[in-house]
This record gives sequence, structure tokens and C-alpha cells, in this order.
Amino acid sequence: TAGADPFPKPMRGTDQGDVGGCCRGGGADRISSLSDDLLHIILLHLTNAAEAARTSILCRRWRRVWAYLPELSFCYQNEPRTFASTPPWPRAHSAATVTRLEITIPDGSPGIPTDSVSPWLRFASERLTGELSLSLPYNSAEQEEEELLLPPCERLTAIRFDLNRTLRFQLPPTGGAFPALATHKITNARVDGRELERFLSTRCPRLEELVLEWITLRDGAPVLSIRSDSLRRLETSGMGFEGQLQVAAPQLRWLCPESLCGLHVAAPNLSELLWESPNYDPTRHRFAEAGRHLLRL
Amino acid sequence: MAAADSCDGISTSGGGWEKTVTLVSSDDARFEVREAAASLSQTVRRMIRAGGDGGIPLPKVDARTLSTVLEYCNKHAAVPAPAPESSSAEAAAVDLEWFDKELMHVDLATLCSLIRAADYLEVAGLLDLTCKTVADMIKSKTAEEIRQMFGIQNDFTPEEEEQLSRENAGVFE
Repeated sequence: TAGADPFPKPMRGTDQGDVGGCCRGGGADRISSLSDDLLHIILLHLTNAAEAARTSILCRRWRRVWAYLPELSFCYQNEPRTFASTPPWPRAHSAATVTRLEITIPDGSPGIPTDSVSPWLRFASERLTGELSLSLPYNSAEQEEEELLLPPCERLTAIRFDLNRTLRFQLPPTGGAFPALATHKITNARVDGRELERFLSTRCPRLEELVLEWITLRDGAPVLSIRSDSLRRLETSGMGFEGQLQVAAPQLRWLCPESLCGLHVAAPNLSELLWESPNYDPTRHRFAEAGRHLLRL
Repeated sequence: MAAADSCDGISTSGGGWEKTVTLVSSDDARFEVREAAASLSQTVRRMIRAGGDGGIPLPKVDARTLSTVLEYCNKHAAVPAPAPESSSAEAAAVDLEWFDKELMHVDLATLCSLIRAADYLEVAGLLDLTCKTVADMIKSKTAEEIRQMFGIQNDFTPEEEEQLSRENAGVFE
């Protein structure tokens, strides 16, 4: 469902004849006479969607152009401070579907309130059909405990998170939630082990690629179990727990596991195993059903 | 393949022979262009394949705009493909970049005509180049500076302006 357009119709009685929007200032405004599609191409060349958003206050025509931009990429490499006072842009954006949303705020940026990101996750839940990429800076150990709640995103195909926060999944009791998700990468995040397990095993039936990097478990569970009937590639590294990682994935073809924690892998179709460490301890690293099809080690 | 009647040929400096096509602008100017260059336009390429007499009509592009588009196509289609990573590939890339930059030294009206023409003719590289040029003009400017540059009239009511500045507080200054 599209968000409410804050300017659904002309608010002045005097400009009813101006159906095409405005921006015809003295006939000199040739840029605004380009089609919306062409103006979108121009705005997409602004690698920072905040720059693109700035054009929304030029005039009514440009407000609509921005409001229907199909991809949103906010990269605050050069002006991280602006995000700290993020306005409620999700409300101002009206396109029924957006194919990509990226928000990148580099390390060293001043504190980004976790609350200010939540509206974008709700936006993703309602309107995103493609990729969600969210990269937030590390601020403090306290902030790592702040929770960011990911609501169900029915049409999302890829998620890339680098959060330095605690990631929670809002899993409706009736099932479903991420039926289209194929790629999921989580970096620098605390998660609830049981919740992640439930998410992976029951809520993303099309998940093919999973990357977990620098993950810690908030519940301190001794075992993290990854079960998926669809998973084909799995990479784990920098896992911040010393327990055991259990993998049960009948379709898994490619695996690059963390070697510091214990490992128990049941993947009968595994064909490639990338072992990037000198540590191999058969008592801690066990491959129950793998190996029969192993082509490369 | 049906050879179009609009296809002729010119001899190249290397003594070879290259197929050409004739393109006709909206104001009836005729341009004889190497087919390899004209084919950077997907629209023209489809029309060459379809055949026809007396040149390929392009009723949405005037002569002045078309000649700039063809300048772009000629340059970009002329580039031979040396081994990647080689120094000549690098030099060719630098040369092309410089050429593109020079080509974009035009007034706003021309730039807009080029965007429309690149879109209609489906010359992807030129569409990208022209749109990026406009984007670069917008970059790092305030709303008022953008309005002045493009001649855009602010038609928001004072109430709307107030709402916008509330929504965008702290971001657009």
C-alpha cells in the first residue's frame, strides 16, 4: 500500500488549470518538461537519495517526481550528520513499490538513534520488492543492545545488514513473513539464537544464500542451529560464541564455516567446502552426511 | 538478413570498406553514418534490420541535436578493442572520458534535447552521460540554487512550504 501523498491535489483554488504541475517558469524551465522516467534517471545518478530528496521541495512537479522514485539509496559518506535529524521521509515517498532501499552511514558518524531507522523498516515491509541494505555505524556497547525490529517483508528478495545493534524478527504466529527472501547477510549484530533459528527454518522457504559475520547471541545459547530446506550457500565467520554451530541443510552445496566454534554439519549434497583455518579438530568439527559429493576442499 | 536500401558504403582510411546508413532528421537533414556507429542507437538498429528506402527517418530529433548524437556515436563506435589492462586501453578510456566531458559543454536547452534524443534513439551510454551531467549540476546545491539554475518556479503555498520545512527540518539547509 502506498503511503499517503501529503500533497494529493492542488491546495489553491487558483491553479486548477495547471494540471501538468508547475515549473513552467517563463518557459525557461526545460528540465521539468522531461518525463518523470527521465527525471528519475537523473535522480538515480545522485548516489545519495538525500540529495534527490532535496529536489522534492523545488515545486509540486518535482515533489511528485521524488515521491515516485523507484529506488532509494542514502549513502552518507560525506555528510553523516544529516541522518541524525532524518525527517519522516518514508511518509513523503509515495511509490507503491520500491525495488531497492539502501541506507549507509559510515563508522565514526555521530549517534544514530535506533528509533530513527524503524520507520524505514516498516516502509520496507510495506513497499520494498527487492533489496534492503542497511549499514549503521558502531557507536557504543550500550547501543549494541538496542533492538531493531524487522517486520515481515513479503516481497523482499535480499537483505544486507551491518547493524551494530540487536536484530529482532517480528514473526507472526501464523507463519509466513519472508516468502521471497533468497539472500540474507547479517554482519555485526546481536541476535536471539532461538528467534534466528525459527526465522531460518520456518519463515524463508526460498532462502538460498546466508552469510553470518560477527554475530553474537543475546541469549547466550550454547548451540546455534541453522536448518533450511532451501539453503545452497552458507558462510559464517567471526561468530562471537564458543558453542556449537549445527547446520542441517539438504540442499547445501557450498559451505565456508567458522572454525573457532564447534561444528556439526548435515549436508548430503555439499560439493564445496572452504576451510580457512589451520584448526581442524575431528572431535569438534563433524560432518555427518557430507563428503560423498565433495568435489573441492 | 534483408539489406536496407538506406545502406551504402564508404571506404575507410585503411583501404577497407564500411557499410553506412543514412539518417534523416525531423527538419529533413540527411546524415550518412557508419552502420557500426548508427547501431549504438537501438532504435536505429531495429530500423536498419527492418529495411526501407531513402534513409531512416527520425521525426523526433532535429538536425542540430542529431549531429551531436552522431558525434557521440562515431567516437564511441570507433574505439577498437585493445587488450584490456593494456596501456593503450587505458589511454583510449582517458581519451573517451575527455571527449565526453567536452561534449557536455552545452547549454541547458541543448542538454535537455540530448536527453530526449538519447532516450528516443535508445543510446544508453549517451542517456547515462547526459543524465549524470544534470545530476552533477544538482549535487551539493540548495533548493533555491537549483530553482535559479533551472528556472523552476516555486509554486507551493506558504502553508505547504511550512509543512515541507517541518518535514525536512535540519536536512536542507
